[in-house]
Amino acid sequence: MTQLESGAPPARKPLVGAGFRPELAELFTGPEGPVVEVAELIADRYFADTGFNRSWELAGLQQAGIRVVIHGLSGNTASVLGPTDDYLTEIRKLADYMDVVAYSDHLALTATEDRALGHLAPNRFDDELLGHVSDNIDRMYAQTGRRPRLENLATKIQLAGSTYTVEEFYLQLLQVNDKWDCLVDVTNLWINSQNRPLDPVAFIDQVPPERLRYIHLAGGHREHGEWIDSHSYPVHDEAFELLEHVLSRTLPDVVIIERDDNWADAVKHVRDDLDRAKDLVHDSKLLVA
Amino acid sequence: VVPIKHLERLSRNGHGRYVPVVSRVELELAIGRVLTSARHAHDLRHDPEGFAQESLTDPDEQASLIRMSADLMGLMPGFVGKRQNLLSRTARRTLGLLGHPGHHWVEEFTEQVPPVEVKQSDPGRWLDWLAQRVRAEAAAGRLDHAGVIADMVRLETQFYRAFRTAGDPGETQVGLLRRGAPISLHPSADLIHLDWDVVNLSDPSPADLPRVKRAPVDLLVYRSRRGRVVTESIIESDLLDALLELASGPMTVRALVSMADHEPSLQAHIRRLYRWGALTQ
Repeated sequence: MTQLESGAPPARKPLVGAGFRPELAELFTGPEGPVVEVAELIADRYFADTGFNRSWELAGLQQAGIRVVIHGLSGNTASVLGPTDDYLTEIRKLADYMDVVAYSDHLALTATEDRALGHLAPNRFDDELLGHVSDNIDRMYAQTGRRPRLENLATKIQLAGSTYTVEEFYLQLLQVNDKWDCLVDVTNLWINSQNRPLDPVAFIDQVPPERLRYIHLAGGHREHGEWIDSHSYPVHDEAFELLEHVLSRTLPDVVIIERDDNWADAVKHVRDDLDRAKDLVHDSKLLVA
Repeated sequence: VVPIKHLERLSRNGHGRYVPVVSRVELELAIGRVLTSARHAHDLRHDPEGFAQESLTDPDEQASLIRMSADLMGLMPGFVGKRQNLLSRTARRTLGLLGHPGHHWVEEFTEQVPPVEVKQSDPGRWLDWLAQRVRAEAAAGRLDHAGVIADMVRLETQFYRAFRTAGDPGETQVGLLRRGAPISLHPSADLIHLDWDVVNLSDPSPADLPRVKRAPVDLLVYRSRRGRVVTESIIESDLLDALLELASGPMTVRALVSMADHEPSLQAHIRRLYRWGALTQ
């Protein structure tokens, strides 16, 4: 099946891996061989007019024979403006070069006409935006040659004037455009459910199983009574429970552990999280069937 | 209101949604400004109608912006703080030497210069701005030990550029060095001259400034084949001459060593720098 085709989930075991960070390099290119089955690269870090930034990292992963997925930070999908042609060209260049399993991005506002936001923002989620987001996905699909996997946003704040919550908009978009699939960050779901009313299990149950192709897991922390998706601690038990629920419904292509901060003991934490995710995948009734 | 560059594509894709597209792009522009600038957030908080009228032509979208203003102000500190943390890390040693005023400069830059996408390098622009600011403050006589601080900016800029210079993944492999083929400095490599001994100040504070010694040095800064930024003091005159020649264009190993006083020594240096990635063939 090509990366442009939709359809039934693959009857193969999901690849379990982690976001590649230099601080975690031993899990990817260590002397004992890779602990991960797949590496997720933050795509934007490698963009360059000629060649690639951090080219040695790409070489190391290629030499270790690790499969790769790429994760964009600046797709600007949830905007009227959408991604720039240059951005999509860079995504395609990296994806083709690394022969990636999948390309994912965020359903977020990341740039406007005169600036990049440097972070993921909500937009005013309404029907007008829905039409523009659908146009953006058509462009992403055509220009990258791949079905983008779009991630649900972690946000406590939803802009006044929105007629959909972040999660309602995400689910509505599945009805409007069929050229994309879901990257469900189960930690984002859990954190959102702690910060505002949301039933994460009900959300997962509304995603068509054949379009749930990619999972993120991470660990956040609590600050001033609010949960922050900081990717700085081991994955929460509740997020693993949501992964287990996902795996009872479908087998995604990849399951990725994200860690971006608090590096003391991070290698051990991520290694433990990988083992736990692999065990859940191994025990999935769908895989056994 | 900033001119909208993508109108043709957006209106074409939108099948007649031209007017709403303009209003919505303007709304996103206003959202972006408030999220990334404490000054714009302040303006929206203190004069919401004025800010909305200045930013948006459509009265409905003006009202929408005012309605979401509390949400945007709740998000703004996270956006501004994340950018300032990244910029501070990029110039960590310079800001350490500057102390309190350095943190004001980070805030000043984030207000003056809108953030750009990763490929256009926000930290690179910040380092250029910082160098210019140090020069201006020194010229106005408002900065003590300006030479030391300017050297630290130069060093951190070179660290950043060496790390950021794009390459080919194939570069990690070392090929055979041929004496007759031209060699060049790797694009990540540069030879810089520093007047002050700032290289070993790894975690400086303003109290270190009077103690820094004048110690002129020619420094080769480059990125190794494995991605590590390396600094090397160039002491031997043969090697310095060879690197200066290479900075102005490629030359063969044979031609370079023929100009040296101690040919074997220069040849060994060239082999080593080639193996480590400072030189390319």
